Amino acid sequence: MTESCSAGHLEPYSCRVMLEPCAAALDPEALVVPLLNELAADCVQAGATVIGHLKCLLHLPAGTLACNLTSVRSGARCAAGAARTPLQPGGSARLDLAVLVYGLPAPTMAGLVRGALSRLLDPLAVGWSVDGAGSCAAVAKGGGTATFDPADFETIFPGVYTEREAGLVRTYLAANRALEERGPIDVQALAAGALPADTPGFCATLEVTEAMVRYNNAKYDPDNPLLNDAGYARSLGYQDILAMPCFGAHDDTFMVPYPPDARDTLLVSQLNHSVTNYAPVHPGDTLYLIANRRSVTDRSPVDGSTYRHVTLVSHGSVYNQRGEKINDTSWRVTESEKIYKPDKRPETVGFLKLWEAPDWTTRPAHSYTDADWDHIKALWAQEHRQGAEPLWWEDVQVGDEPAWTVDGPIDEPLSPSKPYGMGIGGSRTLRHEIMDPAVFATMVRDGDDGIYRLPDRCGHVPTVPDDASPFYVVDTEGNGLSPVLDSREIHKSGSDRAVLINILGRDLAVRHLNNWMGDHGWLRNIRWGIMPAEGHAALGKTVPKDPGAEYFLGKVPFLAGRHCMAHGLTGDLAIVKSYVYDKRVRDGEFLVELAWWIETIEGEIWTEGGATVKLPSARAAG
Amino acid sequence: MRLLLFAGFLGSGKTTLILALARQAALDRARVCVLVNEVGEVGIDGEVLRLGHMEVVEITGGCICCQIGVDLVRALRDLEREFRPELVIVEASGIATPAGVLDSISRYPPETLESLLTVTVVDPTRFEALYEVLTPLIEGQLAGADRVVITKAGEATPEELEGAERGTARLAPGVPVFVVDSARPETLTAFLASIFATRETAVEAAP
Repeated sequence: MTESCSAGHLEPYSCRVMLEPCAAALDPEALVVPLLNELAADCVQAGATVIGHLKCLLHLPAGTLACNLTSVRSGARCAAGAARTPLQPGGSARLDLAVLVYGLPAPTMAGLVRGALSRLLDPLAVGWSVDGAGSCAAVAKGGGTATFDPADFETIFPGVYTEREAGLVRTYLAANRALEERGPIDVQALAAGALPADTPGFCATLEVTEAMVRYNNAKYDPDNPLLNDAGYARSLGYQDILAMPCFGAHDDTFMVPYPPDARDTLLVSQLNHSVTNYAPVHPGDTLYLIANRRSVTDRSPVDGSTYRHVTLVSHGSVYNQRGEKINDTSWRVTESEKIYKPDKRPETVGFLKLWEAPDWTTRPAHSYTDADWDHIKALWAQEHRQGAEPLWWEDVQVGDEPAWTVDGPIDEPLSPSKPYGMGIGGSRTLRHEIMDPAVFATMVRDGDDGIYRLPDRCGHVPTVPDDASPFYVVDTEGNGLSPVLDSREIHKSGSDRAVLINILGRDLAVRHLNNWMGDHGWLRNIRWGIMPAEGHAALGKTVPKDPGAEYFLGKVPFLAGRHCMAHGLTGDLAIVKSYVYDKRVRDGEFLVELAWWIETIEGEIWTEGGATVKLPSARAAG
Repeated sequence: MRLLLFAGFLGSGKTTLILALARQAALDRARVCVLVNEVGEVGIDGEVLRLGHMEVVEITGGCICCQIGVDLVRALRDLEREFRPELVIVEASGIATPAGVLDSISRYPPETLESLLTVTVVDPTRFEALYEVLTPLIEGQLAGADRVVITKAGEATPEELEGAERGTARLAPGVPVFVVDSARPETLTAFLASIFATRETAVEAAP
């Protein structure tokens, strides 16, 4: 990553390690000095070409101890006058560690760090975890932070499959290879309906009805005439109102989960998706959804683990009935799966026994006060729609922060509905009603959550059009009857706090971007991510970091180092913010790059993303 | 606003030197901010400086000379607006070259910039070994220096010190070189005096 400035290969690795002595006091210096020394030696042995700098900061209840190492010869040294009081059992400490060496990839260094920590800490009965919470309970079980009994599960090695997995994985990989061998899709045959139905990667056909387009547009961006007023859209050269830009882009259409029959439990993390938009979608269009490429990377620890960690990446395209490409899409997710030993497997593994997830609901629900509503109303009053007035590329500056938008509090969750890219159901934002004193006076406020609702539920939960029934079917026990996992179960209405599907955040961000870029802008690309490894680790579910997942918040100077640590839940507000971090002209297009993110009213980030927006150029227009 | 850019390879002693410098500036009651760049995502130097009671802004997860120069520009502007500092010390990452950082600053200079001085920090115990395997980087770090500080004098052998002095004289000809040992504060005096005495002359170095 740093070739341009260091003329060598340096992948920085840094992490936070939580420490919790369980039996005896821990001498801080007696830990960090050997840790750095052993790590340096391990790095050299693993092939590091230059030891740059190993440094750490141990945050103890009694103060802080800073130590560093620049060569194996001179060894590790700690700052004079620093805290050296032993850490007592029951106490905890945080070790910030940076390993900057040339010639080793970050995952290798991550492995070396874990190895050194294990060697030094396990014999001392010190609970530890990297980027997560240490736990004496975990030490008692022999390490790790999960709540299950590892003895019930198979030990898994990367690329080596149990008898149960082998055939299924072979078939899965063969299907991926078939996509590669297919090559580019025959678009003309596709549009003419002459493509053989068994063509690899042919996912689905989606008829774009006006009812569905209007349902979504009214739900997400009701004030945008380009999306809701056909006459206005035609005045700008479009044939009709536009659908939202990700109308046909549904992750479950393009992605194929790791073989469901090859695992018993499933933990999902690091969703990181991208949709590029080439042409508008209008009512009456027919969309063809095509997968082009899929890969699976096994990130399971080399030395074995109860989890098989696999990162699945899928690429696909959407075409219309004229053979025009509408979208290119890419989808990445990491699945962490366990397999029961044959004699430990329960008779039935329904959804509730299958689904493993961090307990997102440890984040308390917010009760909206009068002051909160004043704040929300003020933010709504400050929203700015660029509308018909062009936003010129020349007038945008790096560092610009577009006006925030606010949606919610989100009352009802959205459900996925393959192959429909925007999901179905869910509530709409009652901005107009709340801002209108006459209507506001008729609204009902909940005594617990402080949210204002309309007396009639249908007023804030729009009726789903008849032709958008869910694809998935689930029985009363929560067992998915569809061929893939029914993720609708985790988004269902009626839960105390239902989890919000990733595409909801994306589509709320689309309104934010529409507001900013105006009707002459074009959302060339939108990318988004939820559930990064850091967020999982914070809730005790440590998963390997997917290096291919884009870290959007890192592009915002005042957010660098922060991560999307929360999951969106019903009851949350969605304050969408963004930041311009680059602008350039590429292939004749005047483009602006933004990072965007969504915060709750308390400032917790629950979705992060990026966008590439094409704007008109005043200079080029003369 | 005066800007002091500290460059130098990983572990060369930039943070230690900055702590000493900032302490001196604080004694002079100057409003000082430190902007720290680290290539890793978990910032450590910034925390160390904060423990030294510095006003610190961190830029982590990339290098300001080649990957995230825009972050530097933005951070400088924010500092300028919010703190109105008299002195801003920028600690570049250990893999940055001054030229890359200066390029970002010269394109979008802070409005109140009075002077800009670059200090390159050299670890004599590793100088020759690093030069051998990372030649362009070490050359680049010394090429843009207005001052060179050779640290760790107490740890280096006479041969290592001599090698580092010879090398810096060749790669940064005519640039004042200071040899210091952070364990002996008196060795820092001349360097600190040269920094605080350069208010007028350094203006010429501003882009």
